[in-house]
Amino acid sequence: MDMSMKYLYKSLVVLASLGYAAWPAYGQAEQDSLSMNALKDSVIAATTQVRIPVQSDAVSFAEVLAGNAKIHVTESGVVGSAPQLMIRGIHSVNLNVTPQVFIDGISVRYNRDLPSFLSVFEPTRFGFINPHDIGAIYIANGGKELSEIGGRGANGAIYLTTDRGEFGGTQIDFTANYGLSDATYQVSRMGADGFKRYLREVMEENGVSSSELASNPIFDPALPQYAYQTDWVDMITRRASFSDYHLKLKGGDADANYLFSVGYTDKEGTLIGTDMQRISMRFNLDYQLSQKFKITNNLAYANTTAGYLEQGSNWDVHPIYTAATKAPFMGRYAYNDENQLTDLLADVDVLGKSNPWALVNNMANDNEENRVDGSISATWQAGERTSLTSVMAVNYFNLKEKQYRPALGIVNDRHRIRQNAQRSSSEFTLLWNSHLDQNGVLSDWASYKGRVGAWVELFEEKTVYARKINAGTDDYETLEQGTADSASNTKFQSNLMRIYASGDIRVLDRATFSANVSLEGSSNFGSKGRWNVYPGVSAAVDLLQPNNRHQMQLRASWGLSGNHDVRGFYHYNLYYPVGYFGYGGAYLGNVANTDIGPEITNTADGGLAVALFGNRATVDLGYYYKRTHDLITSKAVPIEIGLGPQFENRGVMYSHGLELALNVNLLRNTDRFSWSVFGNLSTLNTRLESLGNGEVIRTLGNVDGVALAGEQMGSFYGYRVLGVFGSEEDVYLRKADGTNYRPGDYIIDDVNGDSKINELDRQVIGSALPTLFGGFGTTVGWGRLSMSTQFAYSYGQEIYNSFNQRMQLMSDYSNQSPAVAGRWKSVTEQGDGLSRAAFGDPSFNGIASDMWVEDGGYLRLKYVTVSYAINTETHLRFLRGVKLFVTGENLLTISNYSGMDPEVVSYSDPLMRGIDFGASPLPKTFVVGVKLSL
Amino acid sequence: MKSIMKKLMWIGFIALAGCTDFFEVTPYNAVKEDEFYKNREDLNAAAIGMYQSLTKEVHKFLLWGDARADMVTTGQPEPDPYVNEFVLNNVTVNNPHTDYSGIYRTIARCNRQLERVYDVMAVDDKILDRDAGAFYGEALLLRAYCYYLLVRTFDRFPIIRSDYAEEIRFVNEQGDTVSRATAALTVHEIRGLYQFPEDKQEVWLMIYNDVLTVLGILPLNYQWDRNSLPAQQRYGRMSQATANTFATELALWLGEYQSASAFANSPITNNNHGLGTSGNWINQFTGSYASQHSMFLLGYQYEKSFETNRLQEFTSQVPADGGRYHLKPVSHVINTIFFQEEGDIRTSFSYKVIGQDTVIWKYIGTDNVLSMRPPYQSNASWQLYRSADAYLFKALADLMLNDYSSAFNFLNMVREARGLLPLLPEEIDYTNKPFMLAQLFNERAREFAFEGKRWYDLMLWSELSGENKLAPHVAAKYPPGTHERVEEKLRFEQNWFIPVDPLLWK
Repeated sequence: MDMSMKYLYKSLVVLASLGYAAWPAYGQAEQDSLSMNALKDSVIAATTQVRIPVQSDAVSFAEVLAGNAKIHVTESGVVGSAPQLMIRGIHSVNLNVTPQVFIDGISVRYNRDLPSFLSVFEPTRFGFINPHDIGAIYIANGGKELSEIGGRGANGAIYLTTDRGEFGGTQIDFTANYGLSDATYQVSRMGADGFKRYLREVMEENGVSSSELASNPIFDPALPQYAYQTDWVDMITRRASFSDYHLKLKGGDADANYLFSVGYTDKEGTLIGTDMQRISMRFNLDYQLSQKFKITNNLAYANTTAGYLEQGSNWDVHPIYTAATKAPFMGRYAYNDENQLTDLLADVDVLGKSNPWALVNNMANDNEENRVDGSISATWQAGERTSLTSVMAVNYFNLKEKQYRPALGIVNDRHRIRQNAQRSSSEFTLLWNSHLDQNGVLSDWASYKGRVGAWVELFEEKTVYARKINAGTDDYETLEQGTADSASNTKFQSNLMRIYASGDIRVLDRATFSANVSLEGSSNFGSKGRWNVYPGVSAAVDLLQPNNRHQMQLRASWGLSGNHDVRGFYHYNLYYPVGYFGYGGAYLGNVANTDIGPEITNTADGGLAVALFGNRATVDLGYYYKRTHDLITSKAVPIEIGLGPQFENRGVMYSHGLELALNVNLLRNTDRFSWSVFGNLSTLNTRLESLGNGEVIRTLGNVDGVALAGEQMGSFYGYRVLGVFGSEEDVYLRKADGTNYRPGDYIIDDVNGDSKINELDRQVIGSALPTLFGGFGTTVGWGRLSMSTQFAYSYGQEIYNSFNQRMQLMSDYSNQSPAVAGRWKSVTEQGDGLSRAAFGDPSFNGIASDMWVEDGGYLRLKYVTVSYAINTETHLRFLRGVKLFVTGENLLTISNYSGMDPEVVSYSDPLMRGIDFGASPLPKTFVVGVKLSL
Repeated sequence: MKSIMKKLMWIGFIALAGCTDFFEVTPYNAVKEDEFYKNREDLNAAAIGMYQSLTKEVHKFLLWGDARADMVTTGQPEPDPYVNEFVLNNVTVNNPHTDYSGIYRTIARCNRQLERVYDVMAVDDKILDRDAGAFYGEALLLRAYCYYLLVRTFDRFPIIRSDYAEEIRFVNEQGDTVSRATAALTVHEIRGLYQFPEDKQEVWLMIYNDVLTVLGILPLNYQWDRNSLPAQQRYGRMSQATANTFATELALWLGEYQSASAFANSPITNNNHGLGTSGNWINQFTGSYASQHSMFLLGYQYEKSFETNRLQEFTSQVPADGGRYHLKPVSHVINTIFFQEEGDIRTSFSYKVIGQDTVIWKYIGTDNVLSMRPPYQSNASWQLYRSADAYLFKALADLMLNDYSSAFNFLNMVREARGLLPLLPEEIDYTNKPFMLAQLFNERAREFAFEGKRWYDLMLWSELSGENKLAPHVAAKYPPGTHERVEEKLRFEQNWFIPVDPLLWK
């Protein structure tokens, strides 16, 4: 394969769901590359390849998807965390809403079900696949193709195939990359003197007497420990490095093809204390035992470790927040009682703030992940047109998570002075999939392909968790010391069986009709809800003659898919464990709902693809409508029945949108110069149609996310601020108990008009999901030099800027944004729209409100890569090829958002999107690299 | 590899052939119905579960019984709205602390237990009649206590006496008894099937009858785990002594003073209960329980599984300890109820003056000096009945029977046990019934200060004296203006109850 012609992207294929059968030239290449992989599901063939940059600092495939058609990606600068992926909206309220990922046919959930170990950090589960090993990525979003994966298809699917050996002598590719990243931690805050002045004023405003202020050592100019000018944010951030080495051996002869690869990656975060390392190995083997018998093996092992820190809603130990709000007039090291500087780290300060240096340097959250994947597949060519394939795969994954929180310099977590916590979780999947394939000719004018198969899958997930607290010293980073604080374990098992049949009929070489039906049973449900049928149909018709230079194809598809990830065993009466006075008890917590079943999604889509001048310019325009019913929601039982809410299938949501993709090869077929441009655009509208059991609200930090009938998914639920009460006479609203607000409190929109502000006055104040997104880019080649760029954009989404709200909350001794100069100070100084400063926030001025909701739209240059292929024919002739690369990532961002980064990853829960807690922004990164081929 | 292949094929085969087994996955962290209510241990676990839901509600009992009454106010400069509604006697239906679902959870668990005890007995022949009576009596008594909490606090609430979790049986318009699956009914249909009592008297009699039933079947000092009766089970679960004390109080409310006096004899003569000494009185608050003193309480084992309540949050003045709402004693109450005489252990322990602030000490103090519970370790027991209840109920009953000397003697027994000098008959007018009622209710106020009883005591006092004692007492804690308004409001008995909109809560 001439890699130099595909110098920047593995593939140039872009159009969504263009029928491979309809355009043989188009589809054939795709099929060939896939037929190497007997693990592939038939869906793969119908999906579209994705552009993968040849060079980046990505550690997982999800980081390189931004800007591609059919998918929306949100990536944060937190190293090792999972970017958020969305394919055609969000299609559940209470279940998993991330796409299902299939790696060489083995299913892996994109996000795990376990709660985050540290506030909102969700580690990537795909660090184990080295991006250098990826052969192709396919994104499935069509109605018919998703029906083929039934109960896992509601949120779309991503198919990954790994690279495989090829016929020919051994080829060795060695790649080395090195990069540097700089992030802009721009947090507007007061300087040492300004903050000191502010502190004094606010203490006065809160009734601290002048004699107390005078005796407060903070304001004593003679004390050196309160005379620093420290830039805490600068102290805990850095220029981060990235290094990546990968060796790949490929080869094969008539009987056997093989690929062996080994890689090592080390990536630092721009926040000190965050990093990730990976060692990965892969061995893929294909051999032809006889003319009729072929075996394919995959074996992969990866070990990844990651260090991370709090970057979510736990402000007490959030290093960036702590650094932003800690008094700049203090220093890193402690003073003794005689006011002399020591070389000991300063403890929690008199204003209650942790030492940011202790947070990044001493507190540690470490993950270690080990993963083994193995599969074997056998294909027996029973006849000219008939084959039987059987695949067996095993995959085991273990993640050890550790948290160590010492005492020195870090605030207590309630009564916990020190804590050590560990969690070990594992997942095990055993899969058996067999299918019989046949193709043939029906008559002169029609041919067919058909498949029947059975799929059995056993899945088990286990967790053990323990936390010990208050060990005697900070020295023990183990569970050896301290008192047991909590310990728990869980186990979840799920068995899946599927019997499926699918087929295509090609008529007159102009039209393809496909149908699929899959009968799926899941142990997640009782006998009534267990078995579900997922049918799907599609059609593609070429409107012009096959030999025409221009082509036009009309397509339509419909299918049912579902979401069967219901883990509570609600089809049984369940007695849950409780404790009372040291004794173990039990109570009936779930009354059997024998009818409970998966959520069901109808997807219908259609479109028109046009190819002009022999594929020189292709345009694809489509529309989809997706409707999910039987949403799992909880029915409130009257409280006198004494049961909590009970789960049932009730609720409907839908999404629809337009999808446009185009690719134009402006110049090609010239030896020296080539130029192509591409772009895509999607619109999205995801709404709740009905929720028979009422709205669903979940809270993260101080922000509520709501699912409310008629509203957008991802809506923020809060209060609308109309202004600030200037004086006593202006106050016309009361708090929930009937007492009046004070001057300087926010005026809240009294939705129900009862002059009282309480939960009934909440309203939708924004939505975290985009309404328009996509990407575009260009590729230019000039001789041995080439350049490519890729932009991604996303508009219409809003961000709840929780970090900014904290910077203007004025409820404690935190350093704040200089904007707090505009707070309400007195009747005569009413400020410019910010509330009064009141310790403890007795009037709830810190509630979630529209004041902190901002437009989150952005356009970002994700990649620009320049590469140069050295001529090895004249020099360095012992080499097959040498290429040099330079890539810049995130070099340009255009956004009105005031926070550090408009790409905000809060949590994968569908109701907790778009809340900015001030996590590390995506850095600007430069990577240089070389690829040597032998 | 071959064996794995074989195994996998085998798994596939089994899966296809025996679909049922393949799909019957047993939940790991919960027990299925098929495996529960099979033996005595299951019964015992279900019994423990009945109490658990009440343990989460005790801060509400403090709000309902004390924050509203005359002895407690707020210590916050700008108080939390919903807590303050209780302090101001201005409770609205939106107030989350009006949610009585925790009590109904216990009622539901008791109902299920009541319907299962004899079924379990049929399959576990180690359960004897006596054992079944103990488990049945325990559930019946706990349910009666729940309705007792409700009848004194809320004006309108349904009476549920059978297990409605799976199906509801009711008499339809044709007069037939039918049953329908609860899950198939809407919230409004279910609520439409509720039985609401005609009047309060009906509830009082139901509770009283249930308690009388329990007296006949709950064995004395029953060993729940068959071998011993640890203190946690002696005081943390229902007992014969509790049933008698409860019966005494009910009889007082119902005007059956003769019965009340008789029921009180059992706990008073019981060797396990007594007035103790002033020296060990504080143990029942600093520890989880105190022998002699304790009778029935909701306990929390912090060391074992971090069981806590929210009393520290509601009473502590230290934010770093988890104190938030700082409900504190009303100063004039300190002066009138506590500060009259020297030597009373209750005066020196029930509250403390720290700096310029006063705090309720019962739930945060760990000694009689200034030691406090560690941050967030809110594991003080919530007392439902203490032995002293029996003595003071006995005194009230005898007073109502005009047995003045007995009432006087029991009052003095309590006083002496707390470090006070006995009152002298020649110095006080002990045959003056209104005066003695005031003495006895003041004694209860000292003894049970901040234990969620004051509001109900003022109600009982009004019942026994035939005049509204609640309104003037409660109004006295407010400044002029509010004072008159609240007194006027509380002149009407219907305003003594908390409004609740059950549809607001889940």
